[in-house]
Amino acid sequence: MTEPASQDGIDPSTEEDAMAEISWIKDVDSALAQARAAKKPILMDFNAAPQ
Amino acid sequence: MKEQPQTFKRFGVQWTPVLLFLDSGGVERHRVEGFLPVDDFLAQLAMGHAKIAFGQGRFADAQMAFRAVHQEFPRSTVAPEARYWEGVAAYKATNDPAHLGRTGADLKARYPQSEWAGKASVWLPQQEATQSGK
Repeated sequence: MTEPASQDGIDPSTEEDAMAEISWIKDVDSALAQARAAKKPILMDFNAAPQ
Repeated sequence: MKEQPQTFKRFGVQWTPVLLFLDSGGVERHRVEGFLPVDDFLAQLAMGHAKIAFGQGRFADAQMAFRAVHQEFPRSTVAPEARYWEGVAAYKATNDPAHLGRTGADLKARYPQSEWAGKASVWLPQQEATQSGK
């Protein structure tokens, strides 16, 4: 559900490549802890589709 | 939603799809609710990046990031908002109020029907603001 984003933000031009490489983290608290440690932002995706 | 109902409740998400942009401290800086066409979606991703920089007080970075949103996606629904916040970030980075006046004038010229042009109309010289009907 959550993923620490890259340090320099999101590059729309590489969307397809990025989507193929995304490893979503479903444990929110783990993602928050990783983001805090790495000083990286988080993108949270809420959707109703099964994954 | 059925898989992690507590997470939806925790972040106040009542509908899908929703994207949340959190800074490294876990503070929500931007939210996108509902489906978007591709260009609007990409513009919102860039907007989230800019809002995080702004929220962290990195105003020069935020200024450039907001500018990139409306320059790369000038027809996106978020472009006027990005132009507005570019002006605010520039002002906060420099303390020069001229940035606000230029932002108001630019919004009036490029996006006259947007709510952001209305919000920025207060930064225009009094005569211009009156003529704009805002």
